[in-house]
Amino acid sequence: MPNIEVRGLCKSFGSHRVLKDVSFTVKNREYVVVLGSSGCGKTTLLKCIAGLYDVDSGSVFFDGVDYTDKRPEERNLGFFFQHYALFSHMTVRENVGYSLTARGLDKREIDKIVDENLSIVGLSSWSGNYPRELSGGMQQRAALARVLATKSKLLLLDEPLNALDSKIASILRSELKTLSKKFGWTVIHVTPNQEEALELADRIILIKDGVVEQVQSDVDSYLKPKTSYGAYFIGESNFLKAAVVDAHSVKYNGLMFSVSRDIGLEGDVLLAARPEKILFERHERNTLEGVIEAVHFLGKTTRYDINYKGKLVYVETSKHPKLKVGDSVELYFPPDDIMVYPLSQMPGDEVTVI
Amino acid sequence: MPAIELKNVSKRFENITAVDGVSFRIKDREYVTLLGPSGCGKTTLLRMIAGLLKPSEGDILIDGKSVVGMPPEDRNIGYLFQNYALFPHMNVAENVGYGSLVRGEAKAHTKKVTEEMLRFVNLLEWAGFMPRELSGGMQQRAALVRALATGCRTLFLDEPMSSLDPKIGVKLRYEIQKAAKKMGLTVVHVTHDQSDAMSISDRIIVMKAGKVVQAGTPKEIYNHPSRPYVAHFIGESNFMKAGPSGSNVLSIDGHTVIVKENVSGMKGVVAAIRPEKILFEKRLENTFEGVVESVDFLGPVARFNVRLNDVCLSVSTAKRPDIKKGMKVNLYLPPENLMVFCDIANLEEELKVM
Repeated sequence: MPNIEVRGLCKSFGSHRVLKDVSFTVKNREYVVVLGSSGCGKTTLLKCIAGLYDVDSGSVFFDGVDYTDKRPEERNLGFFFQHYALFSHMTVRENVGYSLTARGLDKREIDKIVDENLSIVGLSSWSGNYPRELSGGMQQRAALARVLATKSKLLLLDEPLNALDSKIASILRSELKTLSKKFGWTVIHVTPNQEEALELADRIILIKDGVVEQVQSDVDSYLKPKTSYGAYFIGESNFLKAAVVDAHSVKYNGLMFSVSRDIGLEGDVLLAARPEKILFERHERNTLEGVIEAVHFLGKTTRYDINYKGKLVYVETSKHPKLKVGDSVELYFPPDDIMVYPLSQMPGDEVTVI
Repeated sequence: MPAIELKNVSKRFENITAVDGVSFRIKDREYVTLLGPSGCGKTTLLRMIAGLLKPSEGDILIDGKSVVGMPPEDRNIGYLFQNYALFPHMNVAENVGYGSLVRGEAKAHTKKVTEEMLRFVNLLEWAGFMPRELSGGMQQRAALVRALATGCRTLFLDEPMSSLDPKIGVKLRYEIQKAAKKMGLTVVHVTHDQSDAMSISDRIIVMKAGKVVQAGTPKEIYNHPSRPYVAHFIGESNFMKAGPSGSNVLSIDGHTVIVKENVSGMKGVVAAIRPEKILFEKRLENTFEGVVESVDFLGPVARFNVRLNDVCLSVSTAKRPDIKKGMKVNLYLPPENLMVFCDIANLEEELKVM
């Protein structure tokens, strides 16, 4: 029953505090994604769990046993780290089978496991080649196959799909999901990619500046993120600054907006709305008028950049209405789809509030 | 007027043909992406147009004049690579003004151009900072305007977003496109990321194994892919092996399916449909019964994997919380959304991207 608990983890490099009191649990067979931007501390966190870094304070438990001071090889983990090199003097096949050979499995069984995993990452025809004969992306896939072949029930993956061709990454993404459920792995997967997180995770741990910002299921992370940073980082949101009128209405730029959920705040607040929830409709309330500034055809959907009083509102729809640059449009924000946050909790410097 | 024309261009490295008889035209002020998986020859092609590599065969014309043999510095081009490659010992303003100074422009002129450029990408307040003090996204914006500050009319981009966090990359791609349109540049942008290509290109040139397989607007490529490879690489598609059983009728998975095309006499038929074009509906025709094998929540939409007899179809839609794993469902495949390809001897080989 490999469950993991991280309790009050702190880690600094010199005067730079990378992890500030990080706590969470991962259940047996759970796929947890640790999501955050570059430099938020997510890889450091994973290395502390793997035992590759000593922690300053706090503890790491596996199945209720304190492993904080145990060496990495005592933790019985499979891990994949970015830039974690293949053995250059071994072929792809030998690399992938390395941990199995070390454990003394018989050759036939090793070959079978290696073949399966090479096929998953699409490298079957490269098994006899040396790492230097492979492209960077192929080396990364070989390293991933090596982790999968360890047959460890507990996997730590640090950006395993980063820097791969996006199509290959999306194929391997669904493979990872299928395999983890099939074999009952417990996984902690680190990534800056929110789409990857939504697809793979049972739960998403969002990290910002070394602090756990929110922990929610994949569905809740998207539909009702606890924080405005969550609404910004997971998926996309339009943010509006408004003033609370009563429990279910706010005033924005002199316009009345109804909000279905209980606002529970006073004074100025931050509203958030997903681009795909905004409709090209006019209603008595919750409606803005703007002018289309750009149209981007994205395949499944079309995205519109709409200028509202000098700032941009983003709308995305699968209906592909024939609207063009310069058209005046009305934008309806359905009350059910408006999220509300305290104004003190600004999502980040790069975010525009309209 | 920097229009670009390639006539039967090939490039061989020893015994490998990286680019194989490629011809196309890029109009003045057009934003074109070269899209394909790693190793398809797109970067080699870009480097030949920029003059960093010499073609083994064929001709490259800029403004109607052959530029083969002309050094890159005489081609009036800007180049932006994957890694920002700013000079680490110069501050942001010095980096941006470098090209202008080297060409012997007056200091006052250089200062003016540098300021304009930095204001253009909202980096004016960072002018005095060193590159290492900037985030990845900011460094890439600085590198972009350094390329533009040379007064170039043609801009070459080689995977400029691929080393950035996805969130920042998406923002930057729209900024780059906006800047290019505002300044009236001709752009050739190399990427493996189909969503980057779809969102910002006037036209996409899709490549496979050194050859152009389709060139067209994002809408043409997405809605009318020339072959299964294109339908697979750009967006997602379900592929079904099919046999003709009438002039507008195919047999798929034991069902008869009506299509737009006349399919009589076709061999090696493959039908394809986008996941978002399949509807949960029962109609008189084109309806399959299946069982929901899994449901993946992806944020704006959910993906339902539905098992028919021999085929598994992926269906993507928003707002169907009523459909759950294990349920029996009807799928309607509208004839107008079914794509039909013929003479596909080996579908697996055709779809190979890794």
